[in-house]
Amino acid sequence: MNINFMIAVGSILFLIGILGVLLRRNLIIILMSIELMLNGVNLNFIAFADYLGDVKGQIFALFVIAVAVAEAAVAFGLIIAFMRNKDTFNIDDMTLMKG
Amino acid sequence: MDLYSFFIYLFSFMSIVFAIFVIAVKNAVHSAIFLIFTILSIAGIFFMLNAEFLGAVQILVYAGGIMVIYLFIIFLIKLEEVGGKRRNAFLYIVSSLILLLVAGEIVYLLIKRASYPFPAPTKVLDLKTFSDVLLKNYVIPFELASLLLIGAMIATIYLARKRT
Repeated sequence: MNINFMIAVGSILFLIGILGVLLRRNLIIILMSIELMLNGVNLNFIAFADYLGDVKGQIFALFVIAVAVAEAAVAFGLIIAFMRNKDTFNIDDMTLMKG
Repeated sequence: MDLYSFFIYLFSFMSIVFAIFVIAVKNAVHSAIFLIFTILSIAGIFFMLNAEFLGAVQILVYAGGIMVIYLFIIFLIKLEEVGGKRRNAFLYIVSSLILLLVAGEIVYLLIKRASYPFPAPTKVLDLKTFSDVLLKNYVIPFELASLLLIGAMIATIYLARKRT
């Protein structure tokens, strides 16, 4: 197994996530792109854990998955609270704080 | 090419193609379905890289838990075509620059094929070693992760409750 190939695959997944965050306007798809970026990072952790024979990379990948679950749950609550006030989920309309 | 390399290349190709579909399709439900396929392909790569426990966690937690949350979000709110004005040119320039940088890095990585002076793999990556290191050396971060999860749960209930 070539380590360069796995780093390349993880970088491509991270790159696709960045492009999704920058180019899409749908809030749900932006959150899914963040999940893609986390998966690209996880792939690098697992590949280096296998390459170095060290189990710490897998443990950090487990913590990354736990943080992704917490992020998805909080995003769920925020979207529900936002949809009560404004009837859209286009991020160009989320300008209450002049962002 | 042996069977092992064939499956690694197959799962990598599938994950990249499905990830492109995630940000390319218009419908948010189709995007979520393609994200499930991406996650299953990445779980296949995990199985190939001696991380059987994390592959199982990836299937159970990601494809079974997080994606159900996303599908609930899509079903609870009114699904509409998000139109509006297009992104300005600045964002396209920035994303093209990032694309060029990372693509250059990836091409460099795939061409170079250097041998790094890393130590040879000594320990075996089985589930026993994993649970030993996790529950002996990393038990405090493990408990903090449970605190983080219960905090996220309380925050979600507070944010999504019916205000009277």
